[in-house]
Amino acid sequence: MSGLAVWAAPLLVAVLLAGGVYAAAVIDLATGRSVAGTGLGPSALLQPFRRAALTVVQRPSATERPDVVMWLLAPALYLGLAAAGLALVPLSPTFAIADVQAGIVVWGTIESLVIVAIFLHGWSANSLQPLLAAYRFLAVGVSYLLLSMFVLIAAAIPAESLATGQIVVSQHGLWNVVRQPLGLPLFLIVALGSATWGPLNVADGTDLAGGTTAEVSGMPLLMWRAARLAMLTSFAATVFLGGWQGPWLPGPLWVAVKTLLVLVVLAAAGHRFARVPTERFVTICWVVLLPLSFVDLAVAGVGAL
Amino acid sequence: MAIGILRRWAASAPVPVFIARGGGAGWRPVELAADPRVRLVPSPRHASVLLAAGRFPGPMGEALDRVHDQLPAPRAAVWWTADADAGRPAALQGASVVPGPDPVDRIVAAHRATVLGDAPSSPDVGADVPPNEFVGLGDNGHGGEGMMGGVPYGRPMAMTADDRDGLALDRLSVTLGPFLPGFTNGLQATVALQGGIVQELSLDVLDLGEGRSLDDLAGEAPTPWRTRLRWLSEALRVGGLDALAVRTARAARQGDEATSTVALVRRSGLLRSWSGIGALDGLDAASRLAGALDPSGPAPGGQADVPLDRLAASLVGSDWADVVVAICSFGFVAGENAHPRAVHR
Amino acid sequence: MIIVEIGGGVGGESPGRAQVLSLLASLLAVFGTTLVATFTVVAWPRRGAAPTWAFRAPTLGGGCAETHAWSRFHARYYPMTLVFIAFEMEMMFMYPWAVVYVREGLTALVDMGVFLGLLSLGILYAWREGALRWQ
Repeated sequence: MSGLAVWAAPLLVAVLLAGGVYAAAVIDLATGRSVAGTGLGPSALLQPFRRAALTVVQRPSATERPDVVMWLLAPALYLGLAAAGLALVPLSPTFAIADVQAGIVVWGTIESLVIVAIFLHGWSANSLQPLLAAYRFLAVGVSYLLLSMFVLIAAAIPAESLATGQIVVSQHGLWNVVRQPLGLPLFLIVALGSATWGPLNVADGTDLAGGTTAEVSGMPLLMWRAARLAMLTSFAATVFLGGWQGPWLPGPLWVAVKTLLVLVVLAAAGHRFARVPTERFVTICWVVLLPLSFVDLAVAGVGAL
Repeated sequence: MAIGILRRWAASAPVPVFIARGGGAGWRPVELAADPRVRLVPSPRHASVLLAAGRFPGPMGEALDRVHDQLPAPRAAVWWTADADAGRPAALQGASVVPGPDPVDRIVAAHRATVLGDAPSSPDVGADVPPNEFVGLGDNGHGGEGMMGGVPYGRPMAMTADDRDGLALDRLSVTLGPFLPGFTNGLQATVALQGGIVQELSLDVLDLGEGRSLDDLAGEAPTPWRTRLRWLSEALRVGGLDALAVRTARAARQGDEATSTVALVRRSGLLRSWSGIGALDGLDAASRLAGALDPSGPAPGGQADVPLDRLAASLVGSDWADVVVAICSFGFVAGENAHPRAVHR
Repeated sequence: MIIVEIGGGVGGESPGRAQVLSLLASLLAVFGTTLVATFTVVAWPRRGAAPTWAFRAPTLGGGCAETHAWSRFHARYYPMTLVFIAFEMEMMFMYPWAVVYVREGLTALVDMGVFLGLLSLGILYAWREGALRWQ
């Protein structure tokens, strides 16, 4: 396992994250346009900047008695967690920004704190609709958290290690997507949830007038939207498609290609599937998806014997 | 440059528009989603331009004033109506009136003008005073009514009430207004919530005035299928399918059959998400949606009047999000008319 | 401080203490720097008039609120969260279990299978008792 110097790591992550957020924004825009039938044009490349500029120009919101520190901390925490997630991704056989020994545990921590960040964002505004969105997201978040834990543990079993670098190495002969086929769809569901995206967009849903963002405008809104895209990118980069392994191209390029591919899948899921009601998702998660993750764990366990 | 690059880029972005549908607007404004120059947003705080469509007499005008003040500066208001001579609400005193059937040009112009500084941002309508003046008692300015009571920062805190699970937790009383996603024109919900579950609900329709509709202004009499597509676009937005909502709006504007769009809607799982919600007279939200998706089928229920009292009574005990879905699914039934009026029964 | 010797896994060596600490420091630096930088950007004071009371009213689509939204909110899914906590405790055991699994072999599989089976009975009970529905 490897890591970058303490002073250089934040810089590299910032660069990668900026690129990832832009790529995710463009992919989301392009996928939306293709579903909407409005045609893909080169303006999609510049539109994220224009929309960002407009959001920055608008004045930041205020409510009558918000919890100001928590309200501003929420997007900062969200973006920080996305950055930490990206730091764990192995970019090449010899290099990851901060490939700690217990990478899987850090991922579990990140996902748990994401729920805290999103809840804080909704609660701090002291307004009804963000509050309702925050509480219903809590129910969804607590449910999909377990899915991610089991799926990641299943990936760690053949690697005999909790470090993401070792997990990638352990897929040298056979990718996890083949020998643990349930892992990928379940982890993508967790990705959708952590970024409150698409069918699991219960935190920022339109039915609650924008959910946790209903009272947010200006730079905090821009940072929140960027944080959601960053979280999507971090998950897309991590999903264990063999990491950096692949023929012909150098390692980091394969990571980028796989990340973009997963981003396309996630964006398409966001535009094609309707939001799942909270109660329905909680029931499905505990009754169907969690047993499936047990099966995934059993498959991994039997396969590693 | 005197005007920074940030503002120039902001001026050329798709305009985030918050649409407030008033009397006579029907579902027509939803078709704006088809235009790539604008972007419909669910919250006034995301918007740069407030599009007030239709008439806003009395209480509707007050609601519009509240929404107008919630838009962040730089903001502009545009009034799209066939009856500009009728009472102009306070929020729209400085608004430009759209003369014809398409407001997008006026919206884009207003947006560019305010962002680039050519026109001032629309000023507040409401006074800069708290809703309740915080007057304390005693030397420390405390509330004066024991542990609870008083109006900190302008509003009282929620008080407890008995809950159905045997607990006594706080009850939030709120009026959720006519300009929410999925709400029909003028529909206002007065609701008491405990933990997100509705304990009391009252649905009212605010006065929408009398006059011409926006379709009359355009000189069109839209087919029932076109009205359904407009409603479907709004319903898709409520269901979290913004791209499909744009697609449906384009189909409505072009007046075509939209078979591929309907197929995509069926495959999106929206029917499954809506099943079991808002059941009334043997039909739930999913069956109303399914009925709407069938161009040749008869409108489910078909009545112009929505039984608001029975609907409200049936929704007690549901999640607020389910109430939004139920109300939205009824909007289709009411939307067949140009002036959707729901009557208490 | 006792460092658990998490073996280097497939083909790697056990990392030294300094290296472990420097990796953690990098991770914390990434997280902390991003958090502080974003917070600074978001909290940067802007020129302009203070927000008015009219602007600060809660977004209710034109409606009005009688009270503040902060309240003793009845989170109706709390029974489900209790089951979640039980599973979280199991998860804490599964992290080191996953690392030594291949070494321990079949006994490890059976152990965890029993543990998961018992907890699944908990899920079944919660489901039948309606902890997953709250309307």
